[in-house]
Amino acid sequence: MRLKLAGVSKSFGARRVLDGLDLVVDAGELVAVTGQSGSGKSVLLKLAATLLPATSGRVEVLGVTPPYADREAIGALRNRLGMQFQNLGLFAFTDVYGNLAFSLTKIGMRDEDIRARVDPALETLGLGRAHDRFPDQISGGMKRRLAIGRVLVKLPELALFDDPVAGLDPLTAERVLGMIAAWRDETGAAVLIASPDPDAVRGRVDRHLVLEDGRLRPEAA
Amino acid sequence: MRGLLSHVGGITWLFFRAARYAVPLRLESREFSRILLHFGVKSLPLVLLTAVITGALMVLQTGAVVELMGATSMVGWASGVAVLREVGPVLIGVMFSGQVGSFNAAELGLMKITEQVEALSGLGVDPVRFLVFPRMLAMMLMLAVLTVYGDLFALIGGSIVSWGMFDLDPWVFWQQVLLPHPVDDLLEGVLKAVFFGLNISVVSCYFGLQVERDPWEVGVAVNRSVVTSAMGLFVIDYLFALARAGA
Repeated sequence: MRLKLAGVSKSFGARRVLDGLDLVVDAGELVAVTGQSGSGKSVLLKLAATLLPATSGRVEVLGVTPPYADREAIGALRNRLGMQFQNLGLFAFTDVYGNLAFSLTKIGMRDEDIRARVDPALETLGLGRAHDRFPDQISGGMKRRLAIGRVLVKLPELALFDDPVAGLDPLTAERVLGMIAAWRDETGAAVLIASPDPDAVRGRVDRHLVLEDGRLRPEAA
Repeated sequence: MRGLLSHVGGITWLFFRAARYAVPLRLESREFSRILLHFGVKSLPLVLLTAVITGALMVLQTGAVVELMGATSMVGWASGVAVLREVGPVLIGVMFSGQVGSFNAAELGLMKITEQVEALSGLGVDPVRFLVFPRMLAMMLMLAVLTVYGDLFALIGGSIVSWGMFDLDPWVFWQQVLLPHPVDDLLEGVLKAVFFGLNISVVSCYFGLQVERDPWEVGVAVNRSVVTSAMGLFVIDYLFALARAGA
């Protein structure tokens, strides 16, 4: 079990975003959560990424309760996770190659090993020619692929994607989701995708859940 | 008042969090070099130009009075003490805060909005270590270096005007500058600059990282950063003056 949320609630001041939510994602599973804008999908993902603590309830990520107070331990746990953010979070201070290589540098991989992993990923993502460009010099579609690639290249045990197909045409969206599914098949990682568009993920994931009133329910057939 | 105290607390907390990476030194050297180059190169021309004009202006304002008293040769001495001890570091600090501090707050604010800061956390990297600590060291070092250059250019400006307007031989001017205790004054100014750099870096990082999600918050962060840095700068300057008076 890669992610387990049991009776999890999350409030910001008086506003309760998640309300007793339950979710389990196993290894090799591709799960999508859809819901209206503001329903709490990003909060759910950030909670799974250990970036936000729950107000109440039990959170287990990769088999452990996130040690929020222990900076070293939480850093080590986060090294085993990958998250693509809604606003992408691409590092403006480095180029496309640097964005993909960043997390690998931080876990102490050698330059040759990083190159051996990043170079093929650049080709797969269709970013080979843009490897030395900065994020503000590439198109919106390329940015999104780069953000997704940054998660995949890290080979996390739990990958989280916040609206990975936003702003993409249906064909590219299908290709992106196909790429994520193929990567999941290859690595056996657990994948959780959030999207406001049910049609974008319908039929392309193992489980489709809807986030409504702070809780998850299976999508009606 | 509560808001002010909360900001002072937040700034102090950020300083101590960043300072933890000083012993033992855990510096992101690539980020440190990038910031040093980026901010240093960015601010150097403006600092030098401002310094020359200020040095010239100071001689222009005081020269006429000194000339009436028949003590024109003292212009160099007065300029040296004022520039090295007070005007150089304070003025360059204010300029630095306006240009580099504001840019830093805006950059970090934008990084918050685009989720770059969260992405760093998500990759197991402490944003305080990666973003704040290198900026802190870079700004302290940079402001010290800029102050030395600024002092020199202010005195060059002063010597040119005293030569042109009051017919004071540049040789006499520089002799007067170097006559009393120029090393002590220079060191005091540089030490002040290091503290100013610390103040500007921590304050601008704090307000930049306070931005949550709306672009308009960046403007607020920049404004608060410049105002608070300037206030901090004058408090530090006052404490230095107090220490000097007590010594």
